[in-house]
Amino acid sequence: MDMQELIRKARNADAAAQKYLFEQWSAKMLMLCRRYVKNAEDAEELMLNGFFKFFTHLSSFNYQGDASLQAWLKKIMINECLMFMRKKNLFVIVSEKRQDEISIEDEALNNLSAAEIFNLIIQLPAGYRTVFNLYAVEGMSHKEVAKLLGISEGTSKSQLSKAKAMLQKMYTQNQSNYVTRKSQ
Amino acid sequence: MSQERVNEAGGWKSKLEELDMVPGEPVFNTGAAWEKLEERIAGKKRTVVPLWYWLVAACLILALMIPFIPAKKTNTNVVLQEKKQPTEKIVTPKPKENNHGIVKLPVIYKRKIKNIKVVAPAVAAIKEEITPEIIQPDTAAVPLVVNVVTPRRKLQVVHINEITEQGNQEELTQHTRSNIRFNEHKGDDFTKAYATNTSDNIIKIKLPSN
Repeated sequence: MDMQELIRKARNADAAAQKYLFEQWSAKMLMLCRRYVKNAEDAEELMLNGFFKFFTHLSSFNYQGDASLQAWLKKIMINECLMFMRKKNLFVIVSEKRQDEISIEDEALNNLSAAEIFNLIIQLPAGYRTVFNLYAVEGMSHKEVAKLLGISEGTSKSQLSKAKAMLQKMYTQNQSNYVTRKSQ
Repeated sequence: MSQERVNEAGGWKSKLEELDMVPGEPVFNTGAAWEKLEERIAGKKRTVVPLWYWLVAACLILALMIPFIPAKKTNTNVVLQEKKQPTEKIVTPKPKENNHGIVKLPVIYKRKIKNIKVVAPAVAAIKEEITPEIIQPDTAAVPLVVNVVTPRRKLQVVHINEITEQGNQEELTQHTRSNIRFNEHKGDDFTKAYATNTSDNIIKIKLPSN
C-alpha cells in the first residue's frame, strides 16, 4: 500500500492503517530507544509514548517521502528518551574543557556486527552514550547537541571524545573475541 | 557535515539503524505492544468526545434557561399571592378580672377564612323566600365571623385637685368622701392629706408659701 495513503488513513483514525505503520516501524524505534535508555521495559514504554504522540499529532505532519516520515518518528522518539532521562536524572553532564578528539577508527567499527556495536554503545555511561548517539549516530552537530542537552559545545565535544576513548578501550579488550568469532 | 560523517562512518551506522532486535533477547511482541497502544488511543478518543458533548450540552441548557428565568419569577409571585389566605383576628370579648385583681389579657386567635362560593340559583331562591331586599347575589363572600373588638378598659386618671376644685364633690361616692379629709391650713404650708380607711397611708404635699 502507498505510504502517503496510509498516512492519510491513519490521520483519519483508521486503526488498520495505524497498526500497519506501527508494525512497520516499531522494532526499529524500539532499538533506537534502547540505545538511549538501557532498560528494555522503559525503552518499550517510551516507544509506545512516541507512537502515541505520532498518531495524535499526525495531522500536523507534512509527508515528503519515507525519509521524512522516518526522520520525524526518530525525532519524536529521541525527544521522549531525553525527557525521560532528564526526569530520572539518568545523566549528569558536567561542564568540561575541550579535549583533543580521540578518533576511533571507523574501520574497526565496520568490522563489527550491528549487535556488537549496539552492545558496545549501551555499555557507555549515560552522558557519553547520549552525546555519542546524537552526534555520531543521528548525525547532529555539536551546536545542535549542545542546544538539545542544554550544555556548551565544548562540553559536548569533550563528552564525545571520552565516549570514543571508552569505545576504543572496550573494542581493544574484546578484539580477541571478535577475531576468534570471525575466524570461525 | 552530517553527510560527510555518514560517509566517514561507512557501514557501521547504517548497520546499527537496520538493527531491529538484539540477539539473545526475547523477540519484541509487536501485537501485544499494538494492543497497549490501541487502548491508549481509544482512551484518548473516549475522553475527548464526552468533554465536547458535556460542554455543548451545558451551553444549550443555559441558553434554553435564560428566557424562562424572569417568567418563572413572576409565576412564583402569583402563586405566593394565591396561597396567602386572609386571616382575621378573633378576640375574646371581655377581659375578666379574677379575685386577686389580675386582669387576663385578651387572647388573639387567627383563623383562616375559607372562600365560600355561592351558587347563584340557590341565592336567588333564598332571596325570594326570606329577605329579598337584604341579600344580594353580589354579597356572596359574606364573612362568617364579625370582628368583635372591645376597647381596653381605661381608667381615667384625675388629680385630686381637679375633683375638689371643680366642685365634683357631689359625684364622689360616700366611701371615697369619707376617706378624703382636708387638713387645716397650718402656718405657711398648706397640706393636703389623703387617707384611706386606715390612717397609715398618708400622702403629704408641701406647697410653696406663695
